[in-house]
Amino acid sequence: MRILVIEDDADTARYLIKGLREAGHAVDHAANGKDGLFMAASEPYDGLIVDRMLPHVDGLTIVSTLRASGNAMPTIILSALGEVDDRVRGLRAGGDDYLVKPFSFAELLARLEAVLRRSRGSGATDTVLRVADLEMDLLGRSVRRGHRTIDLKPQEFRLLEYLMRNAGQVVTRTMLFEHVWDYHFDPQTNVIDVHISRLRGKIDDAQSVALIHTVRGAGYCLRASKS
Amino acid sequence: MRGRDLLRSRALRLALLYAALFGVSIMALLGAIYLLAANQVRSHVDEFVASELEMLQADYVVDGFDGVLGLVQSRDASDRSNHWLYLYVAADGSRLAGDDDPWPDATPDTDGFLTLPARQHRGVVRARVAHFPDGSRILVGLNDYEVGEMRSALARSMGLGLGAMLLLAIGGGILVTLAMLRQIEAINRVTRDIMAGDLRQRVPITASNDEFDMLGRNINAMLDRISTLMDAIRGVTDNIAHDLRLPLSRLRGRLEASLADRNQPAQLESAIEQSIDDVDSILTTFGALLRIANVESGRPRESFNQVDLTAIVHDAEQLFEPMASAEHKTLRLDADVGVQIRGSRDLLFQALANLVDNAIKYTRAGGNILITLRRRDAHIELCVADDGPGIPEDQRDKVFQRLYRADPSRSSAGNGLGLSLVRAVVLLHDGYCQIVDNAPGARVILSLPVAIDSRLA
Repeated sequence: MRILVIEDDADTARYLIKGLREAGHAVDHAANGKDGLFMAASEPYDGLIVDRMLPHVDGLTIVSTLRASGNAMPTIILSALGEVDDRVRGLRAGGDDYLVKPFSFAELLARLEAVLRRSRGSGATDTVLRVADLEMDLLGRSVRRGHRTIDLKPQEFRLLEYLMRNAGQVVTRTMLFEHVWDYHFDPQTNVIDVHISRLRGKIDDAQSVALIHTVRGAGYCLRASKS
Repeated sequence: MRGRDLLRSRALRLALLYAALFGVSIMALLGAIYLLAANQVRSHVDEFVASELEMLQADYVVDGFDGVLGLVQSRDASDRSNHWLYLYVAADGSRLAGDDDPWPDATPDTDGFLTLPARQHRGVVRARVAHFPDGSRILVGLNDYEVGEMRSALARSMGLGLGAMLLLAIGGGILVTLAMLRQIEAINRVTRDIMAGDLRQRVPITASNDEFDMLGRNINAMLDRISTLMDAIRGVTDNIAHDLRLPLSRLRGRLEASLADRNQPAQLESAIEQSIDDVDSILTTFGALLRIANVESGRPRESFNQVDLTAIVHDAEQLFEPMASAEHKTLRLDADVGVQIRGSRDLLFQALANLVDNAIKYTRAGGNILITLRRRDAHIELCVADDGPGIPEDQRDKVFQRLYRADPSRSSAGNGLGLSLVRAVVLLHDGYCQIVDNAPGARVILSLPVAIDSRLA
């Protein structure tokens, strides 16, 4: 994927570019808002990572300008401002996600993959989600693993649905908290882990291959094998 | 106390103004008294003159010309004070008896009185003339010196009184002003000392319990409050230093040690991972402090909207129930339905999550945690109760302070900011929070107003 990073802080930019290239993306960099807006408007990027505070043109203006001209490029806004209001403003300007500095690169990458995938529109209209022998019927609200029917509470169903929609990708604890519980702050406890381990107990039993994997320092990943 | 202070003093200016007003009113009063009394005296003088003249006329009727002559001569001899004036002249104008003065050339007023200049004393002579059948005429006058005497007595007393009064007023004003300035100076001295950094100073309070004492008491109460807040801030600063020094020094030690391990990738990697964890915990503490500061600034109020509190407590119960049961604790919820509030959904949830998380953390295995949501008449009551060890009474207020931990060794998990955020969120919603004994355990009660802001509702 071709990603544009608009970030004026040289250290942060270097760190982002290095990480994104290692993750297999092609990365361009703009160090100020004017150049960044020009590049974003003239080149067909797959994704945009933009800092909120930039010289010349600030990040929110870049995003809202792109959106006004019909450019739906998946966008993550980075910010040192972390309050709910700032986040809401960022998303209202047209950002697909909003990440508060400092963040771990794993968190950024997981969120970037999620918005890139969402923009490709995969699975949004599916009525059945499948990962290996795990099957989720979104209309019938039922889940089966092989021939075994799994009884899930509504919260667990939504948790599994989010994991299956992002199958093969890392999802972080805060992403789960935001999408499954719809609250926007860092819960700071292992409360999400307990939900995952309960879900894991229902999905992965001793006879079958484990599907829900813990990714150290990042979060969780639902995938068929360890590879 | 410098002279300039005294002159600029409002109290002295007021005292002088009152003295001036008082002086003017006394002068007006004395003036009125003088006018009334002078009138009175004048009419008495006129009466005396008239009755004397009547007596002379009566004498003429009885004794004739000689009678009048004798009477005038005897009067003349007895009148040592020269207050009276008698002029008795014959028809041709030659003097018959009485004083030596020439016959006056004045015209009588409507009452038949003449007003003549006095020979002696000040004032005037009021006189009246009678004509006898033989052509002789007599003039009888009386000096109204009493009026003049009264006037000078009044002027004297007025001068004396005014002088004394002004002296008293100015002297008293200065004394009162000095006393006031002294008390104000005492307050100023304390505030100067405090500005210079000595916060222990207090305004002295006298036994009189006057307005200065009330002012002093209020200033002292304000200073006590400021001291408490400053102590709290100092405590927070100390705690921040303590809380951050530990992970920072651990981090430094680990980085230093990893320099020696640079050829052993596995050890280096684990050292870096642990270092990141340390930095994350520092950042978490800072993040929490900033979040509390943001909540306390009141800014989140701008994005308040209608929030379903019942849904929030259900979410919290669902979020934490697996954690509670994993630790063999029971989390239950008892909530009134449809409880609405104006506020921030995220902040209210986070406050509740902090309380439930704490309650689960501090309850023994087998313990119970109960969330209750009740709509009372004027407020909403949200409680999180547990049957854990509880919080000693003397710590129930302190636990809401930033970075305060009931555990003095600060070794248990948590950053001591959870309850501070709870309080900040509750205050943001115009509510209050308290911790009561749940016998056993603790019960945190959040009281939130039903209509948080009627202007926005």
